[in-house]
Amino acid sequence: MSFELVYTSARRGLKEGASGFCTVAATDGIPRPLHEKLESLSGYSHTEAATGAEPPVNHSHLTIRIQRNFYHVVSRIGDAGIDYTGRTNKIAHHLALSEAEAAGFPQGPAALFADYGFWHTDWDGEPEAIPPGRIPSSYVEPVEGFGTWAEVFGDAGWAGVLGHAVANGLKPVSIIVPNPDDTMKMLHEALLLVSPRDRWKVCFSTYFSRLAPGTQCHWRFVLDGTTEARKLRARSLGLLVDPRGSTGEPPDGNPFVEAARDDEPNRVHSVARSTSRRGDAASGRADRGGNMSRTPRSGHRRPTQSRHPSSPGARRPSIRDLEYVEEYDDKDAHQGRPRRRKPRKNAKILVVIALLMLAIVVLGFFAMQ
Amino acid sequence: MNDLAIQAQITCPHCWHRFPPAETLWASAHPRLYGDARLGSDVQRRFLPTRFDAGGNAIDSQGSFCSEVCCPKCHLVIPRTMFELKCIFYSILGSPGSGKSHMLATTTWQMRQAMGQRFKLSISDADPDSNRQLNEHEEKLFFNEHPDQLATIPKTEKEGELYQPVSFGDETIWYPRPFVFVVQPLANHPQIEKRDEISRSICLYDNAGEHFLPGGESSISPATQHLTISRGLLFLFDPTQHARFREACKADSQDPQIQGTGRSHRQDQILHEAANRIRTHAGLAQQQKYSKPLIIVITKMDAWAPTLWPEWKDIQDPIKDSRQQLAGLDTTLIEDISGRMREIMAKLAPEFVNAAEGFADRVTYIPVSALGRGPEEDPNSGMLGVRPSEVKPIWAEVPLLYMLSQTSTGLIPSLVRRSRE
Repeated sequence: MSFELVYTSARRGLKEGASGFCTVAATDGIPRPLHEKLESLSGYSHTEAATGAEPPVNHSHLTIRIQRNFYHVVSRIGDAGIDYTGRTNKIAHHLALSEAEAAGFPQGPAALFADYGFWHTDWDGEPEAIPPGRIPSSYVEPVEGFGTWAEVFGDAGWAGVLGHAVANGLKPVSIIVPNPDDTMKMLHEALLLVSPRDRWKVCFSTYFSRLAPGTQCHWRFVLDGTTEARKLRARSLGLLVDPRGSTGEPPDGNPFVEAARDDEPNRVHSVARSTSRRGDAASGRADRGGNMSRTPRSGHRRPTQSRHPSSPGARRPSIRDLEYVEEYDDKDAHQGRPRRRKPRKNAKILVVIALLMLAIVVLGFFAMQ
Repeated sequence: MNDLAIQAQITCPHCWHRFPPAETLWASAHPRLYGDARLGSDVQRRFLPTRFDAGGNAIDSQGSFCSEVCCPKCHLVIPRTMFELKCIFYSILGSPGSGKSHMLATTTWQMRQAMGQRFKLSISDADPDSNRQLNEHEEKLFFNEHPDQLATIPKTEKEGELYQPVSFGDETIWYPRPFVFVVQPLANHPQIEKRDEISRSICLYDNAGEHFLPGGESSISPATQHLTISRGLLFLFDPTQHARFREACKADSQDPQIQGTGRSHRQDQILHEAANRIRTHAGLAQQQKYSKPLIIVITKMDAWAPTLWPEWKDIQDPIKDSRQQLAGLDTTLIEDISGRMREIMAKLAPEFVNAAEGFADRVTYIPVSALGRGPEEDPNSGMLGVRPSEVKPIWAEVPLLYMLSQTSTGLIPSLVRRSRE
């Protein structure tokens, strides 16, 4: 069963007493953990980097696991003008689909955004419970070639980098774009290089700011001029497509790059390796192959230097006409309750050793008897 | 090499977990070592080091030198000053739209001006990246390239940049991002020889107002648990959200927040909610009073004071120079004005005064105007904003300075008036 959730700033929310940023609509019977998770995915960053252009909209597809249930979350998050307090507002509309429901849309998640009548772009009504079973229509926007990539970056081959990353184990790719208006077209064009049966495996965000733990995002469109773009240019932990910010070209000879340049995307559908191999969540490099366990401890412990904190009731300074209040010593974070001293670890070990020795002595005594 | 003195126990400013320095994790630096179980695949892996360089920095398994230290529970980066200096936590709370973000931006800006010149203290960002959003707000109001255009500070989001997600198994907890500052005496401070003793890290939080509404805290968003460990609370009371205040001021005020359709929040209920959370997490009995300072910051003074307190225009600066070439805070003046404010509050919002004084032992009422004037409505967008060239805060820094003077030794002295003999 699919679930929807609409989150924005309103005078009244769906939950009793809620106002401000809150859920204003949700499918009747939505499980609470899913409700909370979808709310937590509703972040939006108002940016001045898009001054002059329309505010960016984040169209995203992520996958999440809530208890034993796996969901595909298709979301539209965007600016929503001003709220009832005269301040900035956003609106996040999420649709959570099960695997079985997602299979009913063979064109992939991006096709769901074409149903403009389904997605809320503002909210001025009363909070409401959404009846179950509401699903958008799926429609593939007609896309001709990779013209947008060629126009934005000067080389259609850059789209091939994304397709290749999917085929090569779903490696994450960040793309720094100059203008938020082109990202949806770029997304649709790049998806041409992904076999239709693999499109639901690709997680993307058209206005990416950060990754929530427990989620993956393989294609991250980042707006130039934002903090995220600056951080990526300083250090990118995965693949980075940034022709405007650096010199470089797509790798020649790469079948996906060539397919994009030649406008023959079907050529590479059979090239794609199985993406069922689920790499490590941190994997961005094929040679990593590591695990995420902590470095095992050795016997060495870093020597610590500590000093006793300054005692309460510090000496009054000898400055005339100025006085300082005595500082409240709040080592005890639990006010009103006497602090229970935690026995030191060493003391515990000493007690155990002493008991063992005593037991040995007693047994020895009886043995001698 | 100088010995580096570190605290015996560290309190993480993100998740408030207390731990000894020996349990500190480090963030690896080598590009191959990314992916952390708590923070996701986009960050460097955290580890407990076994090798260190001569400077005491950890060396990761790939041989790179590391510099970032992290909490063993939430794995978020902790500013190093938290290890070296005693840390004071303060909480700022209030209803949505009460002015917390503006107040915080003007407070920190005003303190940066006052601390160095008047108190001979330096105040700096412990972690500029962590304080970035606050710094951006300060720039919008005080360093704007277009000071005559309307500037706005975005509404604080519960899931935005001011919160950091941490994964614990299947669950993701969103912790509020702390703003951490270092306050220490300058070279010409009279007590410079006690620099190590009196220097402090100060940690503030700018929670979204929705967190303080009843039911606003969930298991995955314990965003207000810092209330329990805070050395004091600053509650922002917004008279423009109180029906009786608005009614009393309507005839004389052109402020859109007074004249508008009016949005009201039961701010006494928000204080009750905060009190309940503090009692629950701190284990306080119901009849036990909160013993730390509670400062009620009565915001937007420019909107209500012309009607209710005409003397506001002549309000004195409570920061005064002493004979020792060092400024002190005139706490007598502040407490006198607090008494006057209490009279106004008791008349128009008695339920709130009851809530405050029923909860805390020490309640002080301090009026503030973060911007010095009311907002303007942008004719195109309808958004409320202010022109940076017209921003003139009044008493914006006073609540935090007063709190520091009451809760910390050696930083902000109180001025003692001595009669001439």
